[in-house]
Amino acid sequence: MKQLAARLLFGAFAICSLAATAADEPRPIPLDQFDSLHKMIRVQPGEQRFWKISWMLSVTEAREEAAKEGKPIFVWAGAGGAPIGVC
Amino acid sequence: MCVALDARKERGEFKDADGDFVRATNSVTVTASGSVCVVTAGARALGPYGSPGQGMEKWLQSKLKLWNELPEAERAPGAVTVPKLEIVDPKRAALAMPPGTLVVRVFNRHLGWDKDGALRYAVADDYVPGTGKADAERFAMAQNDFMWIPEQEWQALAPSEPKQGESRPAPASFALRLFRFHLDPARGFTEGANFTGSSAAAGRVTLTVQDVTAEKVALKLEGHAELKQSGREEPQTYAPALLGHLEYDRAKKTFIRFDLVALGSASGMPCDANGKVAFRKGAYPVGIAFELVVSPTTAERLYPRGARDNPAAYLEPREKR
Repeated sequence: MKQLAARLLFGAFAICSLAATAADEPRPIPLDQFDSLHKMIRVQPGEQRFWKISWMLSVTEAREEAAKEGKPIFVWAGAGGAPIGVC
Repeated sequence: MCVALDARKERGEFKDADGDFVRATNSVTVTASGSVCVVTAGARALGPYGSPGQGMEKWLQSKLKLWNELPEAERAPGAVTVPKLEIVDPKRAALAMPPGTLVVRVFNRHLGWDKDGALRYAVADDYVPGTGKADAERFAMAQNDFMWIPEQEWQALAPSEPKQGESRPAPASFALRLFRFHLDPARGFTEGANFTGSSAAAGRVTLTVQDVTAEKVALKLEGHAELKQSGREEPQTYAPALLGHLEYDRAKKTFIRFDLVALGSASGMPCDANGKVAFRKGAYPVGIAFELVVSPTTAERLYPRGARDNPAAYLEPREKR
């Protein structure tokens, strides 16, 4: 369903001239396609749902809030960085 | 309460109370797949879960049950006193966002071409044979990063006496940061970083004043980059065109729009831990979208991947001699 929706949504790009090969010089992005491309590339509904959570980045701040509110702390960690960014 | 952490740094590098807490509770694991854990403010570990999946909800319920079984002295509101973080490891402090920084969200996305050359979202067939459906869907999603633009630099992006039609190169530090740290097709796929040795000659970034009113200045950003580096199996390349629309509020003296798109062909990456081209073979399109974060939340103040290894080299990139 997602693939079908993607094809329908971006059928408008069928005539766009952005198709290039690795050997080509990068072709300028047409001004009239900027908004559509920006929207296509950026996060879509249903992606990165973890951003709905108010993440903290400091252990001490998380401990202070948890102690104040009487709640446990959920820790999410990535080897290459906090997973809400890159990891 | 949810906290997102850099496992390698918290566990292995930061020598301060927060790092000590992480090590004492064994609450992070240095693994490419990431890790989750539940702990208490008083430093009791309720247990890790190796890799989130089908059993996450059940696992969370089991941790909540353990939490509810703790004595009141460990879980009642106000019962636990958390010591102040008085000494911060200098490496942690160096990764704090400098005052006045402009924060820009960055989304990387692997795309595909249809038979007729039209751009489309990536599909399972774009990836190497044997790639599972869940992995293919994950690879096709937007990956995430942040860009920091120091105050002095974004002020230099806005012309002091703007004239419609006037063009000039973007500050060299901005172009270098873009080329070295934010035009990486493998961002989000591997821990490594590509093209970090790029020079200003790797591309061009030009700003043109589009419109000037008493209230704002509209700028168009145009350019391209041709990024290359050697790889174990084949050269690694990314050659995007750049187009952006920026708006500067003259009364507030700040940018109110910073939308940018990079779009071009990538090849030779991402690579696995052994340097072999993984996930995807051949040339394929990668799009990277940038957008301004007007009032960053705590989480949106997360340091950029590019700053992680050497914050100074990220914030003040200079041409190598």
